[in-house]
Amino acid sequence: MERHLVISSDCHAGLPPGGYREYLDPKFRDAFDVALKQQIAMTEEMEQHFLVKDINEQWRDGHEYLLTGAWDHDARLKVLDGDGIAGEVIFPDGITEMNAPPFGAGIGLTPRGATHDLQWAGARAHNRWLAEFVQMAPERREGVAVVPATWDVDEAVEEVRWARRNGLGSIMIPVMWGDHAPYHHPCYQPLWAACQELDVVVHFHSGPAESEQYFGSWPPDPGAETLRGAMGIYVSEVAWFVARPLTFLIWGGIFEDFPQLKVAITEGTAMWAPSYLELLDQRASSHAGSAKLGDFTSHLSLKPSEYFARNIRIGAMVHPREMELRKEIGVGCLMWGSDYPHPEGSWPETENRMNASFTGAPEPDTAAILGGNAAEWYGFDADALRAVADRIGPEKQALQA
Amino acid sequence: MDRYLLISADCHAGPLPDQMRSYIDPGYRERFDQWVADVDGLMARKAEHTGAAIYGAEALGDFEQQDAIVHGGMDGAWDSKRRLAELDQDGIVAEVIFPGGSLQTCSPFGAGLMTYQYEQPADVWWEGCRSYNRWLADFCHETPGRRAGVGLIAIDDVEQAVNEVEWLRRNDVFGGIVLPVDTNGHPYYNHPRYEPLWSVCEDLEMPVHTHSGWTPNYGNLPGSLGIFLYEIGWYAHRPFHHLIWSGAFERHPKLNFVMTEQGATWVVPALEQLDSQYELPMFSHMRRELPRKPSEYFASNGYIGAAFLDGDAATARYDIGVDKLMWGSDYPHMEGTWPHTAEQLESTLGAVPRDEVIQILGTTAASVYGFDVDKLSKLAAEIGPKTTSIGA
Repeated sequence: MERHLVISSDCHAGLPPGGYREYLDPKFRDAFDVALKQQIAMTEEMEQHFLVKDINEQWRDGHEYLLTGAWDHDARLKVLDGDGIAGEVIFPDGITEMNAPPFGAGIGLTPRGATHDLQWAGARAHNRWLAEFVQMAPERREGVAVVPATWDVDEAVEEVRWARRNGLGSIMIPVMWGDHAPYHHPCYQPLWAACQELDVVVHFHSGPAESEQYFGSWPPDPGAETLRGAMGIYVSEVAWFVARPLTFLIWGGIFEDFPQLKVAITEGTAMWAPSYLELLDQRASSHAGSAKLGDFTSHLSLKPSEYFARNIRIGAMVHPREMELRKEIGVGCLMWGSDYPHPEGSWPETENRMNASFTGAPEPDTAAILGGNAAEWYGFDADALRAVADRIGPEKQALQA
Repeated sequence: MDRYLLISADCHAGPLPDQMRSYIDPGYRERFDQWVADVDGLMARKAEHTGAAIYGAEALGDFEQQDAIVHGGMDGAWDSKRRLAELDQDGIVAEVIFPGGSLQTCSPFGAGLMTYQYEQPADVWWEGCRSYNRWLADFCHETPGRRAGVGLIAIDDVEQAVNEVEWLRRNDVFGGIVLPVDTNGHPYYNHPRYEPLWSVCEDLEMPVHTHSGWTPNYGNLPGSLGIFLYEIGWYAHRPFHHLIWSGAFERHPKLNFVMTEQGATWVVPALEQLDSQYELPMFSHMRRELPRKPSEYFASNGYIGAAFLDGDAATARYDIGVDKLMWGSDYPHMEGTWPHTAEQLESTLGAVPRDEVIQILGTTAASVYGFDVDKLSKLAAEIGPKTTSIGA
């Protein structure tokens, strides 16, 4: 019986909030004790505020043990084996908002409203824990270190080197840079150079957006009413903001200077990619609409879509529509992800979701998107993962029409 | 009928600084003079925005050598008679006028398509809008019925903006308003504070526009121009998301929202994505408040202006909706079709059936802006482009 090798390019893990204390530099522990209470209170407040408390509790009901896989090694392996997932890429924030690293060093990573030293301390605490967690099953886990890169680039470079030395081959940096330098600024050159040299994949993960505009205030004022349409606007715009750094990297010539640099955009859907690439290519070609603009392309030797194909991958749930668009996105650019243990992810319905998207698709495309692309991009040990996949992977036959 | 009724849904005009001065409230004239003279400040703001000059010397040079330019054709940006002559020769009987005429013209205190691009007091932005509107009213009255001026508002004080919409309508500036893409630190457009503005625009049949213009500042850095060029469109149609999700079109079913000079090919994938988010199982509570899908609000309330600066919109027209698309010449800008509109239309719309061409070139705009078709048809019969040469 032949089985697919499946890698989830988007999973999450993190300690219960109090657990980060022992991983934190001792000099920040007093601040941590104060912040922890606030963080827990805010999580509860958010659940109430967005009327998702019931939905979350309903969803969690009966899955309590398996959700501890957000930090528990055995529970996690049980879930991933059950889902047919051999390898995974691990971002922070395990159970939505309940396992975020301290001091704003989680999925919502942005310098806005954060403090330099504290955010770095929170990030390092998570990274220390994550390195241990990855080492419990190194052949199956690719850990994404949190790197709040916009404060100080030298500090970021050091953390990239630390991450690589400690078995973490990926980093995530802020999607939104606030008042700090945007990503086409030359100050980031040492960061891109280090990531290229050490083959560390740079990630932008969906989360930050102009939430204050949508909701009227962020975090929401306990008494205030949420503005109409806020959540709809958030889910519409968050996908734009997560891909926004690409525009800066492409036009800034970063992939020209660092041709082996790897960047991944995660959980921002993939539907935007075809029209995005079409527009960028059109902008890059000589065209009436841009005739009055000065030279902004002579430092680029490739078309934007060519940089995309070479340097960028998308981690997404691969809904049926995204699968239909795979040729326009690039079959080699798309990496499936389950988003475990988040409620918007495929678990515990992974098998059904996979069937809906992949049944009847050409097998080589399915194999690439479910795992082949990620295996190559992240440099998983193919033989070791194959042994796992042969035991637990979804049967190829089951996905044939 | 052997000629098309041609209405440009996107043209630009603005006064020269000297002409502008007399429209400025006397209390602001000294400030205006300083603003006009502050060339260093202007350059500094540009450098902060996209670094180098937006206008490339080479393209600008080629453009300026064209006969029409050498012979003063761009003067129609502020010279009413010259403008009529240029539009006549281009076959255009009526136009929708946005600010931003040419490099010589004046956007008072920066008010125009890039309102709020930099910091200055709210009352100065307001005076910039008001003075431009006063000039625009006179400019449009030079040839009644052929010019739909699109007025300016600032949104720091919504009541003031509502009064201004009423002023524009009373003064027969009937093209509607340009909604600032940025809100100057105020809440964005899903906020209830804008409700009176949507109401007055709906009641007075004043279309609300966004037009490419405002973007964040990208700094004097490599690639800033390319980034600017990609993002400018997204920022311009961003207010539309906010109106959709906040239910504004549900509460104001007759409110027309026109997105001008921001392309058209983005519409289909963008609506597809909005619809798919609308249908996410976890947002069922949202659907209770918003009964229709985002694409349905586009179908009922949205329009695309100046969609045909390239051929792409022609191929996507059925997916977008033929009745959603309005052509525009972008006169007097160099990226537009002037002074070769007929030839350009021939190549862009060559394969489009004539009954669709009629809608795209004129009748849709006539109904959105309330132009008098009977009156304009007489002129079109003399100057409009020949139906035999455009369309299939």
